[in-house]
Amino acid sequence: MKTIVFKHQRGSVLVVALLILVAGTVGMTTMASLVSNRSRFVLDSELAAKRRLAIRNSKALTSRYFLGQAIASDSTAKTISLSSDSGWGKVDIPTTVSAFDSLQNFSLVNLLSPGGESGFTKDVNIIIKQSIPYVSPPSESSLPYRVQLKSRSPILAGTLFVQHKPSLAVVEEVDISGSIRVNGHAVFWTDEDLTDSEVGGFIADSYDFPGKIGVSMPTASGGGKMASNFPFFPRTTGLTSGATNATAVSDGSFNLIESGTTAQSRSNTVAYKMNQSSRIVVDGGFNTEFSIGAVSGAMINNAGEGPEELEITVDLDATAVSPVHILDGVHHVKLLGFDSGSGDSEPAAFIFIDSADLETIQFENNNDRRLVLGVKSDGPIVLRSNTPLATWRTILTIEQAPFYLDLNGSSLTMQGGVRTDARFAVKTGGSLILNREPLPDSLEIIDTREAWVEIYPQPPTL
Amino acid sequence: MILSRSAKAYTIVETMVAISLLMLGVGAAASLSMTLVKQEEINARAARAVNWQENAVRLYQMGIGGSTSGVSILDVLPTLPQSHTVTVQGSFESITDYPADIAQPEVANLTLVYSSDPGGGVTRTSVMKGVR
Repeated sequence: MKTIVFKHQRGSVLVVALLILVAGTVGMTTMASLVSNRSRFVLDSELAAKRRLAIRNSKALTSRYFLGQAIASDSTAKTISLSSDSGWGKVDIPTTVSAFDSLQNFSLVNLLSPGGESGFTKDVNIIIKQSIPYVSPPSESSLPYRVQLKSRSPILAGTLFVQHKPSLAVVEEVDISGSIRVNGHAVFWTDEDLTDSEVGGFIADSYDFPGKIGVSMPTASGGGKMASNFPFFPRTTGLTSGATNATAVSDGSFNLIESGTTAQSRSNTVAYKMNQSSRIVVDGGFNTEFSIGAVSGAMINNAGEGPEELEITVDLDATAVSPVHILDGVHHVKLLGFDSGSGDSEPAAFIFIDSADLETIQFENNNDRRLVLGVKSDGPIVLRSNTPLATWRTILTIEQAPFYLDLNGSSLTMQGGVRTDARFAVKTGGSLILNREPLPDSLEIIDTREAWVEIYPQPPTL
Repeated sequence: MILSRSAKAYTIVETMVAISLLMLGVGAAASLSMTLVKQEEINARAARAVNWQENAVRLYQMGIGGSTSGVSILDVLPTLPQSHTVTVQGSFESITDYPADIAQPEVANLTLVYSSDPGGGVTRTSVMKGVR
């Protein structure tokens, strides 16, 4: 057989070999390039992770700073940073003022603005700085963020029953009992387990246990209702005695009635809010009956035995009711309700009782005037109502004192809500119904608040 | 057309030289491939380590681990290879310009020591910080 030999056969083999060589070289180069790029990617991903973590660290630092300050004023601008983190996540913070004094409405409704329609914010512009790698000399980038120090009365926002952690002065167990119907939200800060017998008569539309999982409560139909498990971000009512760090000020304890030696610890108390206007101050130092405006004092001894006891009566039906501050020595407080049905047009009443001797509070008639009532006492207090099926527009804040509602087999409807850090019980046969205050506007300013921190990136300047 | 004898095919010498050169090339390519494969393994280990470590620090920032949490970070994340070690050292580090009357935020240094080399001979140490 004759072999056909082409003219350039040897050259062709060479070309084919070279082409294979080129293809192999391209393949190897591609692989080397891919691996090289991946090496660079991995190297940079470490920086990217560090950058992401540094921003979160900066936000945590900022949030802790403001919570630790109990969201209060600081007259010195500062740059806070982890000393050991080589400049990653430094935060420039300007001078700030207390969020609890803010009257600026939310400019942005974001995160969980309870209620949505109102609330207060104090906006602070901060700069988060980060290292810029691969440049010489070392440099920093600046990321503008806006910190919103938001505050609002939880009761006016729809949380109609709040049981806080007990203050140290409380020796009795913190619990609730009796028939309580909350037509809104409830929050329990307590660490204790509430047994079925303790919550048997408590029914709320929804509720949260910030520190607990798997808690259920009975419903009207008899079944159990689980906690809502809404995101529960750290919030504070301000500094409490001896509490100077972010955890302690956001653990649910409060000091809302009075005391506090610094501006930070005073700025969210009933006493501080009341100081904004002139008030009538009464204590147990009187020994004859008296009357000042809507306030009158008398000595009583219903049992006819033992020493006389002092009673203060506040007539909410009077034309003008000044804020009233009741101090030690007073045993009984009687509140005469505004019953003409036009309470919306009347200014809100403000009564603050800080009497270690207080024993009873008496509601008489119905009350259509908005009332902010703060109570602090060393002993148990009994609230009575002389009117069956009474309705009172009242925001009630109770500190340290176990509180008992003796309703003589009837029910009391409270349009407003209750905050307490001690035992709260409705005696057998009675029932308490909590409804939301329909006209909260003017109350937003004078009621005590809770505050929290939100941090958002600022849009870039074009 | 008349072709010379030598034009019909390569001589044995030419073939041997070509094969030698080819073997050199193949050897170099094989060596380079092995290096690239090893480098890729190193990249993959580093990427996994960074990812794992960032996840761990994020869990710490979210409240898991440390004295205040009943759950350990290591219980939540996938198990590390035996050659890897991790330490989470919680502390209260000094914070520049932070007010003295406020307790410091909790800071943790999460240190991961992992073998970047498939043979296990070379280790890398990576430290990331978490604040909460």
